Amino acid sequence: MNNKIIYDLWLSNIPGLGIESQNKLLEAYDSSYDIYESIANKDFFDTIQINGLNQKTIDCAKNRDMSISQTIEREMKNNGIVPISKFDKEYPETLLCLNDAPLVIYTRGKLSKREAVAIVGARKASYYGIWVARNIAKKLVEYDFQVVSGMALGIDSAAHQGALEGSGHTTAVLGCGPDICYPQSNKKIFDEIIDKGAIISEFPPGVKPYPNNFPRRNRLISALSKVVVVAEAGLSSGSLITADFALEQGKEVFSVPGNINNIFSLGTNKLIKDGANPLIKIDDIINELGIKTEEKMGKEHLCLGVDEKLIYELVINSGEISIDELSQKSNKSISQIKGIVSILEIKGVLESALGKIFIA
Amino acid sequence: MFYKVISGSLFGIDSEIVTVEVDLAQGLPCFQVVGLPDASVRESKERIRSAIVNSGFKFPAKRITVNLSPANTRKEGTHFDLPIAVGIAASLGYINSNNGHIIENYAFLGELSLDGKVNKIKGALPIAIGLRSNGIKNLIAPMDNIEELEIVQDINLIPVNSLNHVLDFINSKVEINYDCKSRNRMSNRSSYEDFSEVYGQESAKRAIQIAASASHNILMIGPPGSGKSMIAKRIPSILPSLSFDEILEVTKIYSIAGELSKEMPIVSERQFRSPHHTITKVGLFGGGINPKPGEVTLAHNGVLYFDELPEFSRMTLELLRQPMEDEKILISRANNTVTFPSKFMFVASMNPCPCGYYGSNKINCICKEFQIKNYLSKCSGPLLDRIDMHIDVLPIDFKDMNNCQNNKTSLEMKTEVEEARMIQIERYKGESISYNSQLTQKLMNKYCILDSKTKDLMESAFTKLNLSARGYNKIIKISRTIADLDRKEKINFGHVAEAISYRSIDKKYFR
Repeated sequence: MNNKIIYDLWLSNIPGLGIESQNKLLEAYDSSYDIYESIANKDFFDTIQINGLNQKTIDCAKNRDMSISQTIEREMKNNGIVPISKFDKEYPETLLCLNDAPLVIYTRGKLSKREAVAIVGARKASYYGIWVARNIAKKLVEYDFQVVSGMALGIDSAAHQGALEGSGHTTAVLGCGPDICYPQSNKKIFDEIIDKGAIISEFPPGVKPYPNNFPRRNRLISALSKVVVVAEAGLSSGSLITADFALEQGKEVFSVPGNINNIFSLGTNKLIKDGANPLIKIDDIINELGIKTEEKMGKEHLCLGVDEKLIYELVINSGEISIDELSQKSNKSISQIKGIVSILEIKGVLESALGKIFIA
Repeated sequence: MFYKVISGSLFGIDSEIVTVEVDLAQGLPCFQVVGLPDASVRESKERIRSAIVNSGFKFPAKRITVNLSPANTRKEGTHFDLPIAVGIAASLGYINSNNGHIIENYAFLGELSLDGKVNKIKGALPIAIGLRSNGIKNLIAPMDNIEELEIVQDINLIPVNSLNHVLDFINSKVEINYDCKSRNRMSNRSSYEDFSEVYGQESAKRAIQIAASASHNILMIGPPGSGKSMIAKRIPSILPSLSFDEILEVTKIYSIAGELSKEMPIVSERQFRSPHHTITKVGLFGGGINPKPGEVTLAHNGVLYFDELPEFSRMTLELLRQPMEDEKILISRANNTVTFPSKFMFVASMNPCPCGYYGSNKINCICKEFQIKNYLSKCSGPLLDRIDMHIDVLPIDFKDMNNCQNNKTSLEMKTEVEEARMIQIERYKGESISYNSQLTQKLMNKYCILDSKTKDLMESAFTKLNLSARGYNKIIKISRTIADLDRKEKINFGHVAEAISYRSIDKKYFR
């Protein structure tokens, strides 16, 4: 680890010293190292005008206490966490555009320079939302984009999963230290992302996932990306905050429409009403990013038998359908329908959950 | 003076002969009962004393010793009152000595009331069965218990209503000829509700029929009001009728539990037990100082239904595994262990989330996702492993309610189930199991051979749908049952394809 970064670590972890204040200091002095050297001077804080600093912070800064950053350094070594300062060349350029870009980001895995698309949405998502997130992610990585999200339950996880399934790159931006897997139930994805993608956090190791951290990390998700896609959101979802940040940062927002009687889609539908781009077909996102989609062979030409085709058509026409309805509409026995649906599920054509069948 | 009277002991649902020995000796008056009597038997002394006096006899001022032989087993119940009283009466000379030998051919059961009346007892049937199998041909028993005893073959029943009545009979002053007019009275009138009353729900009915055909355990998942309990209640109506031995077994259990009555003197139909989720451990599994059967035993040869499965405590669900696996439950006490049978078909229902409406289009689910996860994880693991089939039950649309003609009746479904059961009985004749749900790995290799196309299907399902090894075996068992219902000897591709659809929980279901 670069020697200088210990000073960045020190500066960024002074309790009470926010990013704005850090920036003011960095404007006046060239680097954290210089600040460190000069801060012992008695009149240091008279020459720099920084509002809102309380005495405790000033004293702590003057103490030049390296212990916090040394602890962090140790933690990072144990967990394979790599800190990157905004002065390093590995620091994502896209983040530099932020006024309040974090001085240090803590990373795991391997950062990618590919263009990024954020896919965000509600923690409590319907099967449709999960399907949408996963498949948009899969499509994006086919075209060599990387998928950025927050590794929350629901849409975020589905997006990461879709990217991983498509053997692409995905970056998770966390609302806690990168040594903590939050939520715990996502351990498997967490490990896979460290292995095949990247984890970024502006919080040093040990910082717990306090609720306040999440809106802050949402700004990073939209900053890293060229475009933000909201896959599914209710009215109070945090992903709407991400959409707001995107607008502030001048990024395009896409929103996936949902059924108007569905509470899961109230947020996404409202976004469209308020001016977000509706995402009608998964391919649209690719076109909007300026890439021509190749005429891939439609659906992979499925080898379906006569009966299987019949059922498949019925499901497509209904969106989602129950076994009983399929039996009535096709005039086949329940026994036959169940068998055909099982086979189509194994073929990957259909999916079923909670009694409903829909296209995979 | 020494007299012997025959009675029976009750231990769990089994019974052995007990010889009540009564001895009157000179000495300070006292009344002792030995032979490990429990509290209710010890208290009988008071009842007997009052009953004898109130029947018009003098109570002897002698040293009375009563021994309940064999002396090393615990004696429970109040039915020893009558045999002890008869023994004392005999020792006092209130029984003609020429008839003295007669009481050796008779067994006596009954609780005495202070005025000398003979009261109904619990567990009369198992005791009677035990006595009969030990060669006793004549049984003197309380009048109120007689109906339940009619089911015992080849025994002479003598119903009595008071101590005087008994003594008069023994002394041939009175004749009692009990005419078993109602013997073998098994009502053909079914008290079950019918499946034709359930509108729609064809896929659920199909699944239930498969489950009933081989006693597969089944879980129904669906929002409130979708009809899960309605369907569950009707399951006994399509199960095959109880055989005579099964009727006997279940009636014995209900006799001990004290659940027989004038309206239901014998249990001739499969029982449906649906304990509330707040039931105690003892209530569910049995126990108490004098072990009584719990719900799992009362559901023997019937259906045990757990509505709202996640509401049951984790420990309860954990403890359920043993009786489900062994088909019996052991209740241990300090000196001994009682075994009650517990072979039942397990049916459970649950909602997909705490509020119940996750996945519904009509009503919005208000649960937080951690609540959903906690709710579902309560019943993951070993208990789910014991459940062979899962189905989703959705509420029907209003328009379907009126559209439903041609609902299959329970009788039609039952006939098909019985045919499938006959196939299984025939197939497993020399084996140790009776139904497909009990198949072991070894027996599966023998009776459930798959062709190569079907094997490939299983392999794809295994990988694509994340099946576990246990899930794999269950699918084979279910396929065997589906093939039986289809009257096919060999399991084919279609049978397995359908069977796979009953393992929805194995998939990435609850993300």
